[in-house]
Amino acid sequence: MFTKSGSYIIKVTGNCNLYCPYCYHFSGKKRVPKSTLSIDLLESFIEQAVELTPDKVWFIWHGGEPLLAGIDYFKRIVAIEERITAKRGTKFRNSIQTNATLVNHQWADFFQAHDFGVGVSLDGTKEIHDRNRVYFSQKGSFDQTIKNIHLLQDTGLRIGILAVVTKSSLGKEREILDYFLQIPVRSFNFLPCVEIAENDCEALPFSITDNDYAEFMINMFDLWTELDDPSVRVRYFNSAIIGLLGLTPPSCTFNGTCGNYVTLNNDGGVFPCDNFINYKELKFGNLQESSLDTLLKGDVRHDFYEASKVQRAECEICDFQTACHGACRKYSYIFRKKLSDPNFLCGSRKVIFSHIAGYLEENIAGYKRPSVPKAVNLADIKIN
Amino acid sequence: MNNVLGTKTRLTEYFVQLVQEKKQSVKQNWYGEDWPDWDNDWDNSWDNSHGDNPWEDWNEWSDWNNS
Repeated sequence: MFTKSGSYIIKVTGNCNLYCPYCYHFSGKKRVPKSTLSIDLLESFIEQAVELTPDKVWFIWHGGEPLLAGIDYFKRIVAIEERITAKRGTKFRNSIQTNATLVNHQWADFFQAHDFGVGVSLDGTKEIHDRNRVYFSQKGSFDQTIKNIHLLQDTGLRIGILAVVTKSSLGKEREILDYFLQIPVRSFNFLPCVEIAENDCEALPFSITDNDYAEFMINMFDLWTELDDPSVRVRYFNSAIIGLLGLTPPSCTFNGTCGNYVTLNNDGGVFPCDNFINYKELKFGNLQESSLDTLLKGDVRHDFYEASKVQRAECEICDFQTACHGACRKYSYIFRKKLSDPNFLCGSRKVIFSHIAGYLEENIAGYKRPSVPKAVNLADIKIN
Repeated sequence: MNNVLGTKTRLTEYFVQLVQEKKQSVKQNWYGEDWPDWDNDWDNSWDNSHGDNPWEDWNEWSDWNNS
C-alpha cells in the first residue's frame, strides 16, 4: 500500500555550527566540506514533489543547521516555489528548525515576509541549555539564541520551541516552563534525549530513561494545568488529550502513521523520516539515480510502511492504545533495528497517559478513560 | 462549578470543544479509520519534529493506493 506524502523534511546541509554531544548527527566528526544539498537537485525534487501533490506541498527545512546554507540559497528556494505557484497554483508551506544562532535582521525579515513557521531549539534556561548546546569551542550558545529569538519575535513572527529533555532538565520543570513563558513563547514541545551508540544496544550515558521522561512530563503537565490556559500549547499534552477524548490527533507520534515525512538528505538520499536518517537499510534510494515517484513506490518504502503498521503485542492489551498508537517507531527500531520491538517510550507513555486521563476524569463530568479495545488471551502474547 | 460542557477548567473546556468541533469533520482515511480534518491547524506548523501535518488529507491522496 502506497501513499503520497505531500510533506517533506529537507536536510539542506549536514553541517552545524554547534557541536551538541547528544545530537543524532553527532559522530565525533568535524565539518564535512561541500555538504550543502545541490540547489539543482533540490529544484528537481520540488518539481517532482509538486507532480505528486499539485495542490499543496509542505517543506520542513532541517540540517545540520539549515541557515548555514545561506540566505541566498533560501531566496532561490522561494523563487522556485513562486515560479511553480504562478504556473500551477500550488500552495507551499515552509517551516524551518534552527538553533537561531545565525539569525540576523535579514533572516528574520525573510522568514516573516515568506510566512515561514520557525521552530527554535532551546532546552531551557542558560544553565540547562549551555550544558549541551555548545559551539565547537565548547562555549554555550544560549545568549546568541535568546538574542535572536527576540529578533525573530520583533518582526511579528510567532515561534515555537523544541526542547530536548536531558539529565540537566530533570527536576527543573518549573524553571523551564517559567522561562519559556517569560521569553515569551507559548508553543513548545519536549523531546526525550535518547540516543544509542553505533552497533550497540546500550543507550548513551547522557540519554534519559523512560522513567525520567515520565517524571519530567508529569511534573510539566501539572504545572501546565495550573496555568489553565489553552493558548499555552505543549504538543505532547495536546495530542494526548485529543487522543484520550476519542479523536485521532494530528501528530504522527500519536496517531500511528509513520513514514509520511519523507526526508531528502543533503546527499540526495531519500528516507522514510529524518528520525531514520542514520539507518542506511531504510534508505529508499537516491534522487540522483531514481525519480521521487519511483523511490516512493519502491520495495524499501513498501516494506517499511507495512512493518510500521503492525501493532505490537503489548499494544494489544494496553488501555491507551487508541490514544497512543504505539509512539514514534524510532524508539522501537533504535536498539535492534526492528520496528516490531517493544517501544523504549512505552513505559513512560502508560504513566503519562494514565496521569492525564486522571486529570480528565477529575475535570470532565462523565469522562471515562479508554479501556482495552478488545479481549486478548494473555497466553497468546509473545514479546519479541 | 461545571460549565455547560460539564468541564471544570478552561483547558478541559477548550479540548472538549475542539474535539466536538473536529468530530464534525471526521472522514475515513484509506485504512477505513475515522480521521479528523486537521488541514487548517496552522498553529502546529512551527513544530518541526515530524509531528503535526496541517495538510493531512487522506481522502485527497488516497487515489495513489491503486497506482
